Amino acid sequence: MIKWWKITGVLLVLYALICGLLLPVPNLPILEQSIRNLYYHVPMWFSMLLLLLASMIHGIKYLSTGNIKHDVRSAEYANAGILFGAMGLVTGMIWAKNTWGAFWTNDPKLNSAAIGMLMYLAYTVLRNSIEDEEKRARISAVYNVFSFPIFTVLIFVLPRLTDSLHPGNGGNPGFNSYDLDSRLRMVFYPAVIGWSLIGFWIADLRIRLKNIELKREA
Amino acid sequence: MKNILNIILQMQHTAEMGDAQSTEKFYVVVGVIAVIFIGIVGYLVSIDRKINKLEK
Repeated sequence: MIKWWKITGVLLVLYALICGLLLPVPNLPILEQSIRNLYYHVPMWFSMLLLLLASMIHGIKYLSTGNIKHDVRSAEYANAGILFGAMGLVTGMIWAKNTWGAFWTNDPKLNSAAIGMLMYLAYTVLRNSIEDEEKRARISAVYNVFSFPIFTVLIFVLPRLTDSLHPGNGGNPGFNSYDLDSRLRMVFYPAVIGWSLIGFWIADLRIRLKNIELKREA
Repeated sequence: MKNILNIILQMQHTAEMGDAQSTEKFYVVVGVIAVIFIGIVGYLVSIDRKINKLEK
């Protein structure tokens, strides 16, 4: 049986994919039709953030219970989060090239996101470099608890303190004019929820595989 | 005067949008994207079922 939340995720994403292309959007200079990327690029980051949050929560749960199942969950949520973060970076670069004129600008939002992704890549390297199961679980959980708040500050707080090309930051009112547009919200919110559910589904598959592996080893 | 101008501009804009929307082949692309997504989901479902079996 496929669980109800997985089906919900699929339906929401399907709706967002199709209606995101077909429904009318506000016509803004420079962005023009590329404004539709709001439905595809931004949900990647939201999904990543939720997955990484879940990863940290399970890290804390591991530290307080010592149950290895929480460590498995924590690691796989982080892996899925990294996947969505990578998609967010690449799609953002394509969008930047076509609106700002370059794949990468030394924008605080972009550099922060890149540093954040590197922090999580370091997390996977750290995990893979420790042989002892218990030690690996404990050290990576502690790392996780530190890296999530730092990541959040990096991508949501620091860019807001300076000027940034990226909408929603600094002196750029870019998205303010259509943040409140109900036409965009109608597709954007379902897209965020749908993609997040898909992200948790992908993580769920790997968690269950890992648990089967653990059972076989025992 | 300004209002009339605005209305005309708006009408022109909707007319253009109408043209853009009526390029029917655009729907082909929407269909292709939907099929690709459904295909990937189908694959996820089959993996999910296999893991279900393994768990039992």
